[in-house]
Amino acid sequence: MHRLLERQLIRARADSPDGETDLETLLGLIDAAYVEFDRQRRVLAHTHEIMRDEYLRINAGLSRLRDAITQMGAGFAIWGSDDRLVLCNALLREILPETGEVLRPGATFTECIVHMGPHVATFGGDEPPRDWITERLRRHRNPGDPFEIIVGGGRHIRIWEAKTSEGGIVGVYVDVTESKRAESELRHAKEAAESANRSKSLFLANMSHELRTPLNAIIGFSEVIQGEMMGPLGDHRYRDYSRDIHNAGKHLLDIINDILDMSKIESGKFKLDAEWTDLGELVEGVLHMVHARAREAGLTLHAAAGGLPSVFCERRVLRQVLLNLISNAIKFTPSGGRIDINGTTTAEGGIMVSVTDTGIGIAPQDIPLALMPFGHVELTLSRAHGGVGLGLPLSQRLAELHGGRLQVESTVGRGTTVSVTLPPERVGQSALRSA
Amino acid sequence: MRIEQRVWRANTGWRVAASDGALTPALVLFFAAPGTLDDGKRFAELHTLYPGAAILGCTTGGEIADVDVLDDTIVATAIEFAHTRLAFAEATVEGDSNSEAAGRRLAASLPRAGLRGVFVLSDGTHVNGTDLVAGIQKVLGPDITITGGLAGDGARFVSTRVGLNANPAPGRLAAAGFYGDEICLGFGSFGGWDTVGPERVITRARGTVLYELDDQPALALYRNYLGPEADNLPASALLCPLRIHPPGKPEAARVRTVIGIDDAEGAMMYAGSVPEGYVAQLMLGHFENLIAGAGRAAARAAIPDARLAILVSCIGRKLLLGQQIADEVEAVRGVLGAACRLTGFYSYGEIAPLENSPFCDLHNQTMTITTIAEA
Repeated sequence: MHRLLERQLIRARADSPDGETDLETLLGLIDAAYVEFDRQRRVLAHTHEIMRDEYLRINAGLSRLRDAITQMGAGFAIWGSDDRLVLCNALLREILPETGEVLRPGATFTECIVHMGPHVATFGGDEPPRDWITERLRRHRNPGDPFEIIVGGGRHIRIWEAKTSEGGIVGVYVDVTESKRAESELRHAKEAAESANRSKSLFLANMSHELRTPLNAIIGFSEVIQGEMMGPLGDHRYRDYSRDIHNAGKHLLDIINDILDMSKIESGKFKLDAEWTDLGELVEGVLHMVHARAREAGLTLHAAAGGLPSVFCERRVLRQVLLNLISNAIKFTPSGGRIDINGTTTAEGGIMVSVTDTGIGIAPQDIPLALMPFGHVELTLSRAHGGVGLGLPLSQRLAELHGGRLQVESTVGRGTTVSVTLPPERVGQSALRSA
Repeated sequence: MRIEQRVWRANTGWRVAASDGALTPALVLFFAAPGTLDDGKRFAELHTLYPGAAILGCTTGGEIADVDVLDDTIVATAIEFAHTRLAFAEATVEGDSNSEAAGRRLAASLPRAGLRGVFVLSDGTHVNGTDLVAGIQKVLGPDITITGGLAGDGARFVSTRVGLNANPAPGRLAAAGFYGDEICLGFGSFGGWDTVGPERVITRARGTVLYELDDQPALALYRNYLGPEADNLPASALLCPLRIHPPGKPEAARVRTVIGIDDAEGAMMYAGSVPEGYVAQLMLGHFENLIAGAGRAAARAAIPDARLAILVSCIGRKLLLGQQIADEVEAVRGVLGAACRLTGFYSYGEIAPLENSPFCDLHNQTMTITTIAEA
């Protein structure tokens, strides 16, 4: 008798009050068992299906992983917890041909490394191969940051290894020889460019000096002639010509001075000679210098320079900055326009002087160009107005030398505001500070 | 140590199944089918049968009386100890969120001096078994053997009851503490389920509620695994336990069993925690492996001269094995021998120390055995 039936008989007797086999109970138990068998059969059949589906799912996943490992652009290997190679891709054999026939599933990492040893140069240093093998095994067993080895033919292989959950090692191996070379070329190119730029600045500094010396003669003697210090010139055209020579010489000197300053800044040789300066007086002085030019251009100048504090700056430099900005405004503002000079205190306690014109303006995309040394020559609009385009970039650098900044806001056809801001530490408490 | 075992059936009333003769028991352990306790009469009868004994019991998903697995019965085992002293504790548990505190309260009311082991019964549907066991363990420390189980409600998962010296009620915890040098306790816990399919990561879960595996709704995955049995959720989810382990630590694996589903959220509710980030793998049962598993639990629990073995086995095993479930009890008998009386029940969760660890945890889908002997 099957043990299940045996149990059912016992149960049918136990459940009856008189201890006799209760047929109804027995049939009920047997029927229930048949129903259970049907259900168990269904469960089993479904389990079989699930197992098949999951097998296919896992297999598809494995196949994707295999594809990824085969196709990836790096050498790849998995070492088991016994340190034997589980699998690697073909690219690894290409990257490390030094491993030769040894690199096969089942080979230990030590075997592969011992085989590679003689072909390996270093980790970048120059320890002999025996130490190299010891060190390589140590890094393999305690994987950390990526490192590089140099193999036959001076090729650089970057190695990244990490522990797997089963206690083995997964490794990615990339031949970085090409990018190493490109990186080195780029570095050399950068060094060459920087050196060339330094030479250029040095050349300009020297040249500007050489150019200035004869100009002093031209400006000085043309002034002497113009003033008829050694007797009348006779024909009035001589006086006109000598004035033209004098003005042209002054203009050339300004340009050369700008170039000289820019070169000094770029070669890092510009030293500020700062002192406490009354900003109001400085602005007044500049206004006085440009007043005639503005009037000739048919422009009105408005300045709110009263009550400005003293600032710690190089007076000549700040004057040049303001002169540059106002000169630009005059140059780019058509007749009948207006130029405003304002001084305000910033939220941080610095001081901002802004020059606002109603001129032709600069397009937003041209502002960076206008701030670039000699970038000015690329701007078609300003080409017509002449100049070498050093005024704005030079002013910006000079403001920055004071720890300040220069900002340009402009709308084409409406005008431009150029502001120079000096930081709070350069602003004095009262006029006494400048005394 | 002497034992008397009685079985109550609707047709026959209480009948003695085995007896070592007239005895004065300190403890009566009883396991009752849901519904049999509703009128309170059976408890009163036990109290009359064994006056002066502490009466500890719960509702079940099936009762074990020696090698028989019964339904719709009450199995009561009266135990008289020669030397061992006992103490009892009870507490209430109001829900998943304060299960650990409930466990701590329960353990704190047991005197510590001479305590050797604790057998715990807990409500099976409104508790986080993992937290409960952690709470008990925190108070008692690693030296005390903690075993027991979560009460059952057939395969309905609605209301489970536990009682100490009172008719069992929902939301209760109760424990018996064993004291003195003469008591010997053994334990063993084993499942025998087989993992199937790929490992998945628990991507969304909170406490005992699992929402997503690999970013997919957990319930949908269960439905797929259960196929035609999906209509019988949540009970049929017991056919597919979930094995979980912290990432990279398969040796710390636990098996979790479903005690409810949330169709609207596509979520599954478990008897123990299912932490986010853990690795999960579904399991399926194989008759021979489950039965062999019960035998392995018995082999671990075996101690010399064991007189009583309390079997706490998972309702999921019974659901799969049907009437053949008695095979697993016979496998236990085969290991422990005829001198060791068997009792126990089919539960919603089993409590026993982890293998190779002094720390106790909630298990699911296992046969968990506590063996008792007196020196």
